[in-house]
Amino acid sequence: MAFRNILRKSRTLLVVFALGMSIALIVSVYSGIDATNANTTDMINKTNANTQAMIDNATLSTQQLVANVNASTQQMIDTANSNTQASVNKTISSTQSTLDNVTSSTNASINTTISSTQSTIDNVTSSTNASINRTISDTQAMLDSANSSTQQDLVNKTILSTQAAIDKVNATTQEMINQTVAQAQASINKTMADTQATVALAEQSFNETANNTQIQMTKITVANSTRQSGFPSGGPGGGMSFSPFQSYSAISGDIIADMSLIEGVQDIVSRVEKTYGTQTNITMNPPSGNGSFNQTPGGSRPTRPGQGGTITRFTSDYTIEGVPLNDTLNEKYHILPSIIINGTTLNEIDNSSVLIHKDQVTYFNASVGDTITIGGTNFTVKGIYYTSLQNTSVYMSIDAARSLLNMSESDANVLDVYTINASVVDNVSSDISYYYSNFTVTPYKDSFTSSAEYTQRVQSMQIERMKSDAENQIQRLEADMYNQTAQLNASAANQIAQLEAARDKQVSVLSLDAANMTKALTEDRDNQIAQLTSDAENQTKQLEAAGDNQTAQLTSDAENQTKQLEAARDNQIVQLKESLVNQTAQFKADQNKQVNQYELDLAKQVAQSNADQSKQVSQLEGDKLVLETIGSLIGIISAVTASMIVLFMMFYTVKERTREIGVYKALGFTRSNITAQFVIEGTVIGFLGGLAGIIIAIVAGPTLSGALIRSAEFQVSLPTLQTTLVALGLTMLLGAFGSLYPAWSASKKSAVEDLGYE
Amino acid sequence: MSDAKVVKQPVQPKPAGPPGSDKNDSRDIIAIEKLSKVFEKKGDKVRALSEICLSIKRGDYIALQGPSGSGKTTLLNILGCLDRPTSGKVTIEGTDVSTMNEKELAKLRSNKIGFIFQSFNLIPIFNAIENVELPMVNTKVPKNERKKRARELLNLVGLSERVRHTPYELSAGEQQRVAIARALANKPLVILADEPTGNLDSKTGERIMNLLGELNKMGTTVVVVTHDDKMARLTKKTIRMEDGKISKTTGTFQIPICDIKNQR
Repeated sequence: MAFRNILRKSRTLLVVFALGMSIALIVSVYSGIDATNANTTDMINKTNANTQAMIDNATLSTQQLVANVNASTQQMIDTANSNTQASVNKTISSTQSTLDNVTSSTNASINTTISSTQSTIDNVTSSTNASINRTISDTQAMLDSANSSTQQDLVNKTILSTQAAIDKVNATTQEMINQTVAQAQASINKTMADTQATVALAEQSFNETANNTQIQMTKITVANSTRQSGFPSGGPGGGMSFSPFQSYSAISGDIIADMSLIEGVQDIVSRVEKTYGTQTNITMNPPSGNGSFNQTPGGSRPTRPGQGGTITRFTSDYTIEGVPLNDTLNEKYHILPSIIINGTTLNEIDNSSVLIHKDQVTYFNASVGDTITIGGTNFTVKGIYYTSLQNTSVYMSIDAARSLLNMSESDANVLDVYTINASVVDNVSSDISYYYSNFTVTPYKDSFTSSAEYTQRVQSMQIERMKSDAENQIQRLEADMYNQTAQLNASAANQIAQLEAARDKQVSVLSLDAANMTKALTEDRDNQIAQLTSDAENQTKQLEAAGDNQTAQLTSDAENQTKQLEAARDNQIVQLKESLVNQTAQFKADQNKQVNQYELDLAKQVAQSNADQSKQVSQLEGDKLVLETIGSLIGIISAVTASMIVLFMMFYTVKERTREIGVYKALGFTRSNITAQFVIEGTVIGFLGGLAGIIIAIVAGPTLSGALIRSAEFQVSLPTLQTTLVALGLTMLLGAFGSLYPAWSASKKSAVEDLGYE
Repeated sequence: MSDAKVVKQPVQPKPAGPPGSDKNDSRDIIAIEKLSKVFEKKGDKVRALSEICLSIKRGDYIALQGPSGSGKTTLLNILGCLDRPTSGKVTIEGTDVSTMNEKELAKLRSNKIGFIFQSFNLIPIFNAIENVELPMVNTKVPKNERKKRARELLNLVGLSERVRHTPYELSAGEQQRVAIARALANKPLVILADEPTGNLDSKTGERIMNLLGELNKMGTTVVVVTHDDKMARLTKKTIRMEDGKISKTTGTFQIPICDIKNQR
């Protein structure tokens, strides 16, 4: 009943047709492929036959080539043999000619050597003889000149000059000794004279002091207590710079006149003192007292006592002592110094002259008659005085002193008050002190005792000292003199001894030189002659030996050369023979190589042919595979397309029968019943369709494939059993699956819905 | 008429008995209680049936009437177990249908219920006898017996001469007769017919209704959905439905409607 229904359904026929087409296509393709397979096999066979023919050809031509090579090799070996024989013959003949040349040239060389040696020997002999003669004559000339009188002259000259030098030394020494003695004596004498003079002066001064004392005992020295200091006329800041000075303040002439009225006063001698010195600034602590600066009017004192820090220290250089130049007063009171050692003392009119102490000469750098400048005023040194004690007083007229101090006439700053006798001194002193409390009053007698004794002792000691100093000096001078004389004598003796020794030495040297020279010259000459003779002999011997050696050498060289040439010839022959053997071997090796090469080429060619064949075969098989692949692809595409069509057809068909399914449900069929029924139905349809398709393929396949694939190489055959079975199975499966889903889904819905489906 | 005679023969042994014979007449074959059915269409809830109570007794020949959309077809489908109610209870021969699975329902339909459709719904690839045989294939009646009974049933509906004809070769009336024969195949408890005369001219329809009446007389319980009053008058009972509810019952028979009072 199913079959009837299927036939009735036109859609089912469409399914059948689609399936049929696809199957037909598959079948066609497979048929085409089979045909291709047949073709390919044919071609492979053909290729194989071709390849075999090519291999045979190659083998034949190779054999011919090998035969050619063998023949040519034999020919080459024969040629090499004959060439080698010719070369050997040539070598032997050329060696022989070379040997002959060597022998003749050696003989010529030997002859040349002998003759040249002989001529060299002759030359040597003659030149040696000439040298000997020359040596003898030279030596004789030298001997003659050595033995001349020059030698004796030199000796005599030496002796004479030495004697002259000795005499000169002796004379000089004596002179120097005499001079030394005279000088020493003069010094001694002077020392003695000086000492005596000084002692005499000292003694005179001493005596005078002692004499003067009696008068001085009546003296009272008065001075103003105030002092003044500064610069002389012009003052500080003036144009000229003067030495600073110190002096007592002035005592007016009125006071002096009043003072002379005091009872007991005999005379008043006015004096003007002024001390010149230098001021130095000293930084020091304040002194404990100033007594030490007060001992003398010219002493130094601080400008600002009692203050620390910087003090101005005044150092006295000299003191001017202005005194009245009154002969009577001077006679009476010894105002001016009495011992004038140079020049004369001052008289009453000497207003611009001075007396200076012996020790001041150095300070003023002036002697009698010279001019010195004091306080801007020029004075002439009139005399130089002496006192045993040191004294820096410069004596001048009181008027000159006053003008230096800008003091008015009759004024003074120191007064020597002489009393009528020594007993009133104290009274007068106290009176003066009483009336003139601002004056310093000093009676001479108060300081006399100590002063006189001191002076005396000092003077005696000074005299003793002077004497002993003089003695010492004399002794020293005498000792010096003796020493000097002895030294001069010793020096002279040494000098003379040296001169004599030099002379003797020179004389002996001169004598020795002459003898030695003669001997040496003679010996030299003999030696030279002997040397020349032996040299000549040696040279001759050497030349002869050299000639012999050369000859021997030449001979042996010739022999060696001959031997070498023969050996070379033999070697060459051996080499030629070896070369022949090698050449032959080489030819044979080449031949083998070429034959091998040919065989290798043949093998390669055969291999190539085989490879080509394989390649061609595999190419053909590849083509076949491609075709198969294309066929498979077409088949697969066809199958898939057909399958899709079948699936949709089944789906649609079953879907259309939904209402029918509803009916089945209403009739009490279960879902599985319904589904199974539809699937079975689909399978049957698929089977029938497939069957129909196969029949169509068998009937219409060739035509179809011819239409689809236009190729001469493709031929068509019938589908195989396998193809048929696969196609049938496929169509059945497609029928089943195409109906399964719609049937199952429709049966799932409610029957009411299915029944309502239009 | 001659057909009727022929028909009687096979009908006789098949049903449990003629209506009201040995069985209790008042016994419900199908009872429904507070049956409701709601369809959901595009979010809207359409209440097709609303708490209907109804019992169908053996030997009933009931016409379900009402305008389109009143729920009569829905009720029929639920009675025939082709559809499940939204709520309420359906009892067939004392068995609660709602507890059954698809397979059990299919078996129930196969054995107890015969369907007749407006458009006949014969299987087009089968001929008349094959269509009648179809339900018996499902119940695994042996082939010979199946053939024999199918032929008897076709005789019963007056188509003994057209056994081998396919549906396309039959007239509409003839097709509906085949359908009736098919509905009777497994001796159902009840035949449910949905507008069986809808596609027929009135004369043919009348004949079909008469056939159904004859079958009812032979003891078959029949429920017919129709909107044709003329056809409805050929039945024993009429149930009128409006808006998913039973609005009116007519006929000379007691209508065991459970809560008709409540509805009123």
